[in-house]
Amino acid sequence: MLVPHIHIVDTTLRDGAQSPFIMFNDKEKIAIVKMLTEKGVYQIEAGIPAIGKSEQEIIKKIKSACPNTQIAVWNRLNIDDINISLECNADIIHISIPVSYRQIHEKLKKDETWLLNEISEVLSATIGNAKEVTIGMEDASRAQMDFMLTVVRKVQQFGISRVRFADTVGIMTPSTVYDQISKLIKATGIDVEFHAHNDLGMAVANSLAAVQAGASFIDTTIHGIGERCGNCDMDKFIFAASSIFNSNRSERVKGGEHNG
Amino acid sequence: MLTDATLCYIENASKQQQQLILRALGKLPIEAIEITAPVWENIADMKNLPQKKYILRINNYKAIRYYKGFYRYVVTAQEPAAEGQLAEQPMYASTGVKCSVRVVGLSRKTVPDMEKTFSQWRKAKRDISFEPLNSLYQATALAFAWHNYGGQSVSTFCGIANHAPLEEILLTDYLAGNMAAIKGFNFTILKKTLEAITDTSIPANKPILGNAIFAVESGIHVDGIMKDPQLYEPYPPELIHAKRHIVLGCTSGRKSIEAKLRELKLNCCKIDTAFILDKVKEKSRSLCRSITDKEFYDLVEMMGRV
Repeated sequence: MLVPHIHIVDTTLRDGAQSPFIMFNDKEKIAIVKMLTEKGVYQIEAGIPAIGKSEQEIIKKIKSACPNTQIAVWNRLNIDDINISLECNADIIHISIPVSYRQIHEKLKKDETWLLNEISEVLSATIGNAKEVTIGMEDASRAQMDFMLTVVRKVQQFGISRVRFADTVGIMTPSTVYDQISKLIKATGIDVEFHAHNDLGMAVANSLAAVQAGASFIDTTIHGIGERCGNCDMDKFIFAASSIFNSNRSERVKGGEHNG
Repeated sequence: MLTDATLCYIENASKQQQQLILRALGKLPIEAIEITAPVWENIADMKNLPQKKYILRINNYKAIRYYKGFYRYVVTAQEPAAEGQLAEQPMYASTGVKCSVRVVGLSRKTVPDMEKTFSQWRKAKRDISFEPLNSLYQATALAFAWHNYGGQSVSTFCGIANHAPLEEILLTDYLAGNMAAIKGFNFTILKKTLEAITDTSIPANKPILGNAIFAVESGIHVDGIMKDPQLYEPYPPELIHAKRHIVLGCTSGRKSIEAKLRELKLNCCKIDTAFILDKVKEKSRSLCRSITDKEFYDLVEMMGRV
C-alpha cells in the first residue's frame, strides 16, 4: 500500500484537557510539549486563550520554552477571542466554525447567511496579523456537505489552505469518514485535518479511513484523553497506521520543524 | 446480524455469573449467543433459557455427536489439527449440520480496504461469520461494517479477549437508524458481573460503559448542552441508563456555575457567578483537579451565600 504522509496534530492540552478529572499544571504542560516535540509531532494545540489570563500566560511560556514547535491556539469565531490569541505568540490561530444546522441555529441562534458574513469579517481582521490561520468545521459529521463546501470555498478566498473536519460527537464510521473527506478534497482541493472522538470506539479506525481518503493531518491526544470517551489515541493511531500502511520509516510522522 | 461470544471467554466464572451474563445478553437485540461446552453444562438447566440461537464452539467435529440441537457449530483448532479436521467436514455436512465459514482476525485491514471483500463475500452467497480482532483498534469498525452489509459479526461484551465490543456495535447500529423499535440498552448487570469476574474496573471513559462519559466540564460545552443536549452528546444518557454530570474546574464557564447552583438547589439570584467562577478556577488550579460538589457547596457557603 502507498505510504501516506501523515502530520500529527496533538490536542492533549486543548481537547484532552477538557476531559473532566484530568488537569495539568504549568510544569506538566511544558514537559508534555517538550516530549511531543521530541517525538516528532508536527503541531501542538496548546489551549484556548479566551479561557483567561492564566491560560494565556502558559501558552506564552510554552512557546518560549519550545520555540521551534508549531504551537496552535483554539478560538471561537469571535474577533475578541482572536485578538487575545494574537498576543500569545502562537504560530497558528485555529478558528472553530460551527457548520451543522443544529450548531448554527440551536447554539449560536443564527443562520447560515450570518455565519458566512461573520467568517468574512473575522478572517479579514485576522489574516495578515497571524502567521498561519486554520479553520475548524465543528460538528462536520452532522453538517450538510453542500454547506461545508460553501464554507471551505469562502475560507479559501482568504488564503486558508487547511480545514479541520471535526466529528464533534464521535458518531462517524470509517465508511462515512471516507466518503465525506473524499468528497471535500475532490471538490475543493483543500488540505484536511481529521478530528475524531471515540464515543463509539472508532476514533482510530475513523482516523485511518480519513488518511486513506486523503486527509494529511490527524488530531490525537496522549492516551486518547478527552471529553466523554476521549479523542484518537496518539500511540494507538501511530502503531496502527505504521502497521497497516506497511512502513516503519520515521518520516511517516512529519517532524516538529516547519518543513512544509 | 450479531453474535455474542462473551461466554466463550469466561469459562472460569461461576455458574451463577455465567447465567447472569446469559440472562442479560438475552435482553439485548442480538441474534445468537456463542458458548463452549463447559459453559453449556452450566446453563443447560436454566429455567427460561433466553430465546436466542445458540452456537456451540467446539475443538473437534466429533463433539457434534454429543451436543445435538445447536443452531450452528464453530470448530476451532490449532493449525496442524485443523487441516485434518477439515477433511471430516463433508461427512457432517451430509448429515444436515450447517457448514459455514468463520473468518477470524483481519486486523490489518481497514474498513475502506474491506469494502470490496465484503461485497465479494455477499456475492458469494456463502454463510460467512466474521470475528475481527482488535489488535489494531479497528474491531468495532470492521464488525459493524460487515453487520451493516447484512453479514454475521461476532463480538464480546466490553471487547473481552481482544474482540469488538458488543455494546459499541449496538449503539452504532442504533445511531445508524437500524433499531427504531429499541427504547434503550441496559448494560448494568453485564458490566457489574464482568467487573466481578475479572476483578477489574471498566475505565471511566470506556465508550458506552464508562462511568464518566457524560461528565462535562468545558464551559462552552455546558452552555451548549443547556441549550440543547444533542449539541455535544452523541445520544441521550438515558438511552443507556446513565446520567449527565456537570463537573466544575479550570475550563468551566459562568453557565456551568449557574447549572451547578440549580442542580444543588442553591438560590442563585443574589450570587455573583463571575466571582464564584474565579474562585472555582483558583481552587481547581491549586488542587490540580476538578472540584467536587461538596467543595463547591463549601465555597459558596464560605462566601455566605447559602
